[in-house]
Amino acid sequence: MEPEIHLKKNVRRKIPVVALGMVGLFFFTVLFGPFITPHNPFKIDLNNAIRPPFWEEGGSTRNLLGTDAMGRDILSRLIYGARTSMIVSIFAILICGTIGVLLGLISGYYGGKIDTVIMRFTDLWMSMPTIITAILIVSVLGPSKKTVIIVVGVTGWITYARIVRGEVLSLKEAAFVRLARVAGCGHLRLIFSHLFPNILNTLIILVTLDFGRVIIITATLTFLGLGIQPPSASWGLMLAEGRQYITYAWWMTTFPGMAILLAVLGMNLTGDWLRDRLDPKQKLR
Amino acid sequence: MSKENQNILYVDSLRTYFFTRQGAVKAVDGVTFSIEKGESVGLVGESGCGKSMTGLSILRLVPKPGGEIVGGRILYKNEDLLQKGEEEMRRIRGDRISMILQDPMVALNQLLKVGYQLAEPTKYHRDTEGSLREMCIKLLKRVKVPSPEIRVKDFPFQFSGGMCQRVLIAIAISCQPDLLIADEPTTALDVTIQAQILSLLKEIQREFNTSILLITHDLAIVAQICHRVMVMYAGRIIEKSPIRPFFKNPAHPYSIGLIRSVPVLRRRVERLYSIEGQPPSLLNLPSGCHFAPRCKDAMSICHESYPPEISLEQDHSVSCWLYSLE
Repeated sequence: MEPEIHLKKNVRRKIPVVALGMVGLFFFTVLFGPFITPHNPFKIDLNNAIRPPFWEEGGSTRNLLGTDAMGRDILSRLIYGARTSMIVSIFAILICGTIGVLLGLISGYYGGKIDTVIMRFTDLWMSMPTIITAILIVSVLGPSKKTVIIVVGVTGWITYARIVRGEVLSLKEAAFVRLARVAGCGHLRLIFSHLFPNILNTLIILVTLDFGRVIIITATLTFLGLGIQPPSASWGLMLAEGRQYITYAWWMTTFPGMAILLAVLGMNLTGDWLRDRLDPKQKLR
Repeated sequence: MSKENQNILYVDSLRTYFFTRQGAVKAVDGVTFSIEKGESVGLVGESGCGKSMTGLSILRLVPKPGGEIVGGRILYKNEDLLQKGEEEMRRIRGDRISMILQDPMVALNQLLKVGYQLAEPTKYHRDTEGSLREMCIKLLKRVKVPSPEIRVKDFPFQFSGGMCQRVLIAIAISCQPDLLIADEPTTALDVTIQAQILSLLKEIQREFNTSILLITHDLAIVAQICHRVMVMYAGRIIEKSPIRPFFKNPAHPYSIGLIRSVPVLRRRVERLYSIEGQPPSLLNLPSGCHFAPRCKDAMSICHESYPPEISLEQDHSVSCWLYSLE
């Protein structure tokens, strides 16, 4: 009996090699991008345009994944695209995380009218389609990397606000909150030095899962021409640029598509795994 | 008035209700008592009779939404706590009046070091001169936690239940309060640890001349450390007495029942004594004496109106019709 239980536990606790591998690859290209790109991702070489990947007829090992319509190396652009995605994701998540966590903490802790106002506001916000909001913001600020960050930041905080509020609602009945109150702890201090550390595990999971969402939205906006502008290297942009050649140059769209897929999948799988590991309620099962 | 001046705390017809969809739950319904400087008073009663709510009401920490103090006065050093603002109350909590919560294992924040939590009241209420760490070590030493120098850096989950309770006591006494409300301080602990915690409380009381309001359902604990005892039933105090007369001659039929239901080792009995029936729902209390439906000596008047507080001897009073006829 004993060894079997042990075994089961081990299987469940196993580190998801595939997911972490994907995430690892992503982070590796982000960190060491400039050192591992075989070519300058921005260098236009029209004599070398629309080259297929090396295993196809007409391809060469000079451009492993081929070149795009302007002769730029796809692999190099993918690697730089990872950096773009990362930068956008980090700043966007910083913005929506901060707004969401703050509103969630306040809403959950104070309750009552404040809670009602904030929650109805999130309902209102949620009823606005992301793309419409994006178009509005872009038309005001003009398309750029900064705009994408702002768009994703101001549309994505709702999840944070709602989940953090829920956590706080259950935590504020906990005995340690009462103890802090009995000790004479003020509201703000209670929120930030007692409640906040207790929602950190949820927050870590949330952020990991949110990475995938941000990468997709960034790519979507960019594909629609509302986001990152040429000649920057970005996965969404590569998809948009390769679209018109899709019938005879599949590599221009397939590889950035796969990059998005792998990055998002890796982040989501890692997020799921983290949830299983960090959620004390699930560990007992 | 002179009597009131000695009192560290005077609670006057305090009423704390919970407003639910079914109606008002009268958790505390007109409770009056006083505590003198350096005195320890036991508040006993069964689960759900309003003891804890009385304690929380004094600190104005009744759970919201729903709970509300609807009437009465709570005089701390002749100042009404119910008239104070939230900020003034915050300054009193943990400094002049502090509380030891039940269930020590979950009362500490599991993610913060014990030392951090120990230092909290001091951080809020004092201009800290000297090192907080030194102070924490001294406090832990005071409550007899072994090797305090190492333990301050530990997390609560590394402490046993008894040790957690010692930490809670240390937090509660860190600002040397005038009044310590101990809400079932030993309920979650086993008997040997209980004895240690009780003697610790006793020592601390003597050392700082702190008043203690001990909330418990265990008469044995009251007998060990309290000067006076108050019995609470269905939101009201039904008997107040110094400790000796109470155990010798309990007056209220409920108190008599309580004392009788404590098992005695020397007497062999088939069944333990228990009071018939269930305590009434606080939503719809019986008219008249709340205990009347379970009382063996109930008379017709008991079902009609609530008995007044009748003084029997010095400091011994009871709310029961049986004694008004004499």
